[in-house]
Amino acid sequence: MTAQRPSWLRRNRWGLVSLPVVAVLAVGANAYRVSDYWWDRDLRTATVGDAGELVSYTEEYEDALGTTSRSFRVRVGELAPTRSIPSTLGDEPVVVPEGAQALAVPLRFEADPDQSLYGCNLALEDTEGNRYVFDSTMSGVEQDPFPCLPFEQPGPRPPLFEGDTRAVGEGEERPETWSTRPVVVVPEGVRVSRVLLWWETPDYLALQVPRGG
Amino acid sequence: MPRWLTRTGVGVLVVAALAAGRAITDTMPLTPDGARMAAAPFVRDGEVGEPLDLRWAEVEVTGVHEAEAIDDGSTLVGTAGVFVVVDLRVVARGEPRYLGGLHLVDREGRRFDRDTRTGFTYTEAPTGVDWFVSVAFEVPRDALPGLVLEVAQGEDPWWDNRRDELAHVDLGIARADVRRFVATKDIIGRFDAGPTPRDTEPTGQLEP
Repeated sequence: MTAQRPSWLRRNRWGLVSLPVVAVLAVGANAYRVSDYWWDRDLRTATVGDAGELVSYTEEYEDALGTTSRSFRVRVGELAPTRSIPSTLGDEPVVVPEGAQALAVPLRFEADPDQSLYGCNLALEDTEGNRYVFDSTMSGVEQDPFPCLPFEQPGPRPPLFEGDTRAVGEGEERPETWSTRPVVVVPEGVRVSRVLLWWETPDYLALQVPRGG
Repeated sequence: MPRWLTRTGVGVLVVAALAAGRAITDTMPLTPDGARMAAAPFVRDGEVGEPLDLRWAEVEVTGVHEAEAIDDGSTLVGTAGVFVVVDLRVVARGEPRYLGGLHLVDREGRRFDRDTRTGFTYTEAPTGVDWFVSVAFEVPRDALPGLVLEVAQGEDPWWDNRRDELAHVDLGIARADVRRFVATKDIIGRFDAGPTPRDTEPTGQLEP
């Protein structure tokens, strides 16, 4: 009597067990650019704030001196169509393309004066996911470059090289609370649902827009 | 069937499958730019005045003009060839779009970059609204007939156009138009991209 030959499954059990692991490793070994060239290049990781609430936000980031963080609180008010932007020359008329409108975004901030908020970006997002990015030069009026900071009192600037400091420039001390009102151009008829704030992708803060009642 | 024969047969089949895959990839036709078809962009062809729907924007060439010089705001920029100034209307989809890949391509496949000496600037087209962009190219006279404008989001090494959509717009320059292009004395003023279109009237004439 001869011994029965083991089944195909039994003979190949270790190969079958290792197959999913090998498949994951094979895909992973070819996915080294996914993070740098795709994931990190867009807004992916949201902190969501409810409409009309004072929302706290903290994120870690790297500057020339190493790892640090920024923390602040912010509330967004009702967006309102506007035809002018206050500037050093007085109220200047907004120039928008045909079929577009300019929306003012009232923001109220609170932050310790040592927090660096330099370099922030802002966008409006509509209910279909389209993103309208704040551009300080687009509306025909030169707006303040950073939509989250008072232009004259921005607070600490980021250090640019090793040995530099996170110091505040003379006369640039930022108050603990302040307001901004950046203007963003969007097509007419768009329903804006969220205000997005970010420094470096993929992290961002998404504030629900309050609706007038 | 002997076991060794089965194993050898399976091995031969696997190698044959791999070889067939490679052969198919390698024998796929090339695009005119030399890229493999499997990675080639999707090209939408059009002509002047025809809005083209791309994945990332609506693009329309609204006009083509010739000039012998460009007024960059302080001096006149000249050419031994001809300046071709192309006016575009762009409506960005989804998010602001930067037209980093604007080229003219002639019938021989020669590609011409925009002429940065002319001072024409273009910023990101904002989402969802008409944005007017003009761009000036300096081309040799023999390149004029059949010129095509290629509109892409960007170009290597800053942008990857593989599998992306881009537009090829025939500028409608026939051999009969070459004489007019070459004889022009028009001066065109520099233009910054913005919400209003460029005034297409020449800003002046060079002395004969």
